[in-house]
Amino acid sequence: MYIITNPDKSDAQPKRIGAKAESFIKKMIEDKRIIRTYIEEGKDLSELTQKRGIRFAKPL
Amino acid sequence: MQNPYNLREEDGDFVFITDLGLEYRIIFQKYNAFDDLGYYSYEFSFYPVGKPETAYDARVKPTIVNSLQTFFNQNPDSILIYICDSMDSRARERSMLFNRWFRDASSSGEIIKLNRKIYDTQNDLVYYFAIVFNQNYIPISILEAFLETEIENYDK
Repeated sequence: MYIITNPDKSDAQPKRIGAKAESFIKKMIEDKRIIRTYIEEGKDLSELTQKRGIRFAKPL
Repeated sequence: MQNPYNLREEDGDFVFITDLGLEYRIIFQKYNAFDDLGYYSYEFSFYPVGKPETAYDARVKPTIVNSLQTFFNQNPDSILIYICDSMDSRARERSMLFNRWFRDASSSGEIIKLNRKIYDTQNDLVYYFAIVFNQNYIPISILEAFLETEIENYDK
């Protein structure tokens, strides 16, 4: 279960987020860890598109 | 502020090389978190390649700030998410650094940032994340619908 709070407000009430948001955030964290490992080890990131469905974008 | 480093595209992401020869990658991952609501969303991250000893470099900050400003100039109706992982117990420090850099990237006041701290109660882990968006294009109700909770405080 994921509970969120506002770290900038000491009186903020912790709240549980919805299952869909939790699922997305969980996937983002897992993807981030794998990407970081790939970059540290100099591996080809494009493998992750096939392996995990990570979509790298060029929005700049 | 120092001059930013030049970015170049490489294998789907953006790369810059520092004066000390360190290579950094800036990565945007596209997610469909808000597709149902009609908005694109990206997770933003940047890393040095390999496991180098990093030292303070005054040109890294303007390079990242410049990237964020360019992103919102070109994608004003997109939502950017920045997650600070707790894997090495430095999530809070990364979040504070991003907050400082964000202030320079949002000088116009149109770009809003929601800071949130997440507790993973199952694994007893803490993450920090920020949702960044242009308030002229994204209504706060979109983010509330996504999180399924009311958002009462946010930063400009």
